[in-house]
Amino acid sequence: PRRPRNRRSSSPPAEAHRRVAVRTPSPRPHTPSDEEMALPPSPQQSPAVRSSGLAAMYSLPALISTYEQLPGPVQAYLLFQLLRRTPRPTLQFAAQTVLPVLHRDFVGALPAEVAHHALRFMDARTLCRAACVSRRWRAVADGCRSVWRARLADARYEAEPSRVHPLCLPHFGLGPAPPTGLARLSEDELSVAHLAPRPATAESVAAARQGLSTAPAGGNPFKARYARGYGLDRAWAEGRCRQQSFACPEGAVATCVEWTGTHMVVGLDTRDIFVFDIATGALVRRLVGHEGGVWALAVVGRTVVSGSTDRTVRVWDLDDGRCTHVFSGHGSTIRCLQILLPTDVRTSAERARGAPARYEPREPLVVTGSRDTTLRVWRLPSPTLDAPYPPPRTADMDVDDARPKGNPYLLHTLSGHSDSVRTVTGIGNLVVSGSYDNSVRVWDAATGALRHQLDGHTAKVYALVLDPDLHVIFSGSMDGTIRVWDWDSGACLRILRGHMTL
Amino acid sequence: MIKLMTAEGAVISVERDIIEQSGTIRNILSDVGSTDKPIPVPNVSGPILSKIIEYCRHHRNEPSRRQAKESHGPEESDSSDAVIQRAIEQMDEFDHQFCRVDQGTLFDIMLAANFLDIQPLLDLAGYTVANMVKGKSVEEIRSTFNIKNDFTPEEEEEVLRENAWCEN
Repeated sequence: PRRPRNRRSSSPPAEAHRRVAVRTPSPRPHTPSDEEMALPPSPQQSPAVRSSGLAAMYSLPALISTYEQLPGPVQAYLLFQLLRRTPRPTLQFAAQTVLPVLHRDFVGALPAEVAHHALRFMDARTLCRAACVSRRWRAVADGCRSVWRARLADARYEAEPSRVHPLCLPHFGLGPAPPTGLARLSEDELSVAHLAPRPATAESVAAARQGLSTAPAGGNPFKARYARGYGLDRAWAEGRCRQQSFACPEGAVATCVEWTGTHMVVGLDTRDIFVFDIATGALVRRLVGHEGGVWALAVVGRTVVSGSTDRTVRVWDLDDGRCTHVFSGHGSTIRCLQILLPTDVRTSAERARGAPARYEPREPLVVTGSRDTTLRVWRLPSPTLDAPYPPPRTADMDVDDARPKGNPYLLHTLSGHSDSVRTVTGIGNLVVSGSYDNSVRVWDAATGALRHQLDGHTAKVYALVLDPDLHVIFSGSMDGTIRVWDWDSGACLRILRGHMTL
Repeated sequence: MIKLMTAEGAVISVERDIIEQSGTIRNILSDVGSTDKPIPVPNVSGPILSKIIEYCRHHRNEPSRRQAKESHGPEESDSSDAVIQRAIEQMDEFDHQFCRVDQGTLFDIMLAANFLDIQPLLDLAGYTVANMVKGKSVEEIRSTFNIKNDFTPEEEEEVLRENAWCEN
């Protein structure tokens, strides 16, 4: 091939060399004229040209070995000179050869903690596609728990990062505690002795600790929860739904419904509690034992607590349907109940300030409200870890012995309402009750003391909602209003009017 | 002036306030005090160190950037939307031009920024890589980074099924 021009004179070698060595060269190739481009290298060349081409061909091995012996900077200089003499099609061929070599695998070849800095700038969809690229990308993209945890928190698919004390999660079969964030818990907070329902055995403490330290094998729980939230969000947005019917006995009234991730627990006015598989609609279990209609239910993990017109509170193991604990004492129907797990009671403002976590109550509790006008605060037993109560009668035991006078699970009786307690809620040590006596009362579960009596509603109070960040109580009443109360001062902040009836 | 010794053994001098944007160098200097001896940065080549000094020189008088790492609250992780948005807002035109380099250079910058602990530069490099991935199909991502699909057909079917939810 002919070399039409010699450009060497235009750039002194030393200077060109430095430029090449320091920067990545972007050599502007000599642009061949149109005629040159149009002329493909053809075999129809004069014999003289052909023979000189042949000679050049023979010198190729020498050229290559010369190149290989040159020091790096000179190689760069030589390449630079060659490239600028190369026509565009050959350059394109060179680029196709070179570019893949220059590609770098930012996720697979970087240490995971460095790749993390790229992943954390990716949205959920990009992270999912990244997981489909290769085995290594999948391991890195699905392994980045902190990124998925942040996506989950940002999406607000879950109301709040759980405030429940992490040790409660394994204890009630709610699954292993989230492994992140635990580093901030002090050893004192980790002491489960005061958290687990008494008696806390060494085994239960060990089991709780075990649950904290072992992350689920494989999979990314934050990604899974994000995916579920995302799917739900889309389903709501697009109105996608699947109707599922659950067959209850003819004539029975479902009075209360609770659900776990997989099961729906239904209280019926016919004494029974039915447990359905949400996915299939099949009745998987019946919790049998109440002697009157069931009017109140709560579920935590695999533990069900129920209240009935038979005036008893019963605790059940959802897995095998056993009733393990029966608490009597209320003088009339139990109409409402609320489980209180040790929970971080800081407001979001306090958490943002970095205030130390405050967990209340000191152990899991259940608060029951009754038509007998009282509320009772009980320790919440674990069906699997605590011995059944009352203890089963044995042959050599008197009837009187089998009925202990004091129930060790009963902590306080909250008296004061002058009519049925219709609704109860709470967080931490705060218990709030609404009654047919038109009042709302605020109690301390730790001491059993009345903190505030909130008067104002002119009809029965049916519903209560708390805002733990604002320390505000919302109460709904048959008088058609919603009242907003400050739970620290007991002041009525607002009255929301407009509804004509309950 | 601080002297740094690159991976090749070359010594590069740089003003102290510039290179103190590197947490690693800052820590070394606070440990040894003033020193005339070159500080070795064995993981960083000369051309990459020059790029990084160029970056630090541009951001010379912006002390706020140094705190970027600590500025987020205890409840926020470095991946939270708010932290990410703050990091992106800090980037200027120079930064975006700075990252218009070949993948190999960007790769080495990212490693060096991690080794030298320059958080805003790590943000910038990570953001740049994320943008190279964003909006691409799986096949496009593979060809962008020249990655071989090493899934078995069964694994590939599984991983695609597992991640199909994000495409709805």
